[in-house]
Amino acid sequence: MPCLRFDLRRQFPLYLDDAASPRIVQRIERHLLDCGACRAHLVRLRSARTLLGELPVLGAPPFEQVMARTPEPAPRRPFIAPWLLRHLAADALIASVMFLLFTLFYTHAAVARNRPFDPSSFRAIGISDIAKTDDPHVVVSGVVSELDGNFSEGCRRFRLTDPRNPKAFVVCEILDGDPLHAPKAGERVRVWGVSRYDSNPDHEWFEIHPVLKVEVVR
Amino acid sequence: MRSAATDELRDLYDQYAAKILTLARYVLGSPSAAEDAVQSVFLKAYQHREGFRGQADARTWLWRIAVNHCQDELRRRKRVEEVPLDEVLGWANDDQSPELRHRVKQIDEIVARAILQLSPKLRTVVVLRYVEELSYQEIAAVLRCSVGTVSSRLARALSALEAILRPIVRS
Repeated sequence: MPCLRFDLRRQFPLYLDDAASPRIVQRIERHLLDCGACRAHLVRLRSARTLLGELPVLGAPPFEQVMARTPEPAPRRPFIAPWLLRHLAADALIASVMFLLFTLFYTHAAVARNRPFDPSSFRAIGISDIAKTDDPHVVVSGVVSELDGNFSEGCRRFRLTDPRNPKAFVVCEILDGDPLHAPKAGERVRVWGVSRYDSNPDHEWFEIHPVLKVEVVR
Repeated sequence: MRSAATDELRDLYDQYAAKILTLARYVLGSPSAAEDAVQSVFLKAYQHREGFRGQADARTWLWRIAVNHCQDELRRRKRVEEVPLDEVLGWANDDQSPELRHRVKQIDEIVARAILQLSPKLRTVVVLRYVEELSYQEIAAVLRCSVGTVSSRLARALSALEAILRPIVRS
């Protein structure tokens, strides 16, 4: 079992070299009586110490020979410390990857923005069933029952009612600045846009927001 | 260089050059680096002799210059050069038989290489204590640390060396 008396073990070299104080010697010897692990450790340290003690002290060359030598020039320190260079390289790599990702994302977003509007990819759904779809791109048909020309909320809004179920409706909103023309009340229209639920306590209805296309059905 | 100054430097050299060469050789691991170290240490000692006079023990002061030089050198080059130690360990006792001389020399080479596997701090303290035979108090003064720290570093160094040299110890 390993011994955890590191406080004593760090004094072992002093003990081996007869340089420890009598108090330390006493403490170490008392501990060694009961601790086989430390006795073995001490033997190992003594072996290593014996080998080291046999290493020769080398002979110096003559004074004139050494002082006549031109010392090797110290290698020039690089302008930027190697550790800093490593950090900069890592930073540059991260910045490059981020730039690449941003460029890809931006290009993809730009392509998506410029993609022509394709009405055929919108899902046709009845106004009464709008709550049943999670597809955001929908096309709904109905009768314009109410027209709101108030631009205070930044959009032109009209209500589209299901002719078969007058209680079912969606609110359609044309964004301000969009060149689309709002339909007239009573017209039967088909509306393409993004469906969502407006959870505002005053609203709590399904919306087509924004309206992307309005087509009057004859 | 004035002759009095040269004489002063030569006196210092005669007393300590071999010891400093030994320290540098075992700590740096290369004969040429060790000779450069001796030259640099004595030039530095000569240049700063005015600042030294009347202060600490000359021996401690010179050891400190040598230790600092070796630490700087090790910091400068990250890895120790692998140089055959027998270039310097040509010291065998003539009274020994050729086989025994060869065996002893082999062991010394292995031990010297094992020292190079220690960290610079442990390497320095091991050489100062067991090769240069400085006392614990002298080592503490050179390294500007406590005797307890010297002993603690020696304990770690001996333990690591014993693990490296275990096959030799057993044989």
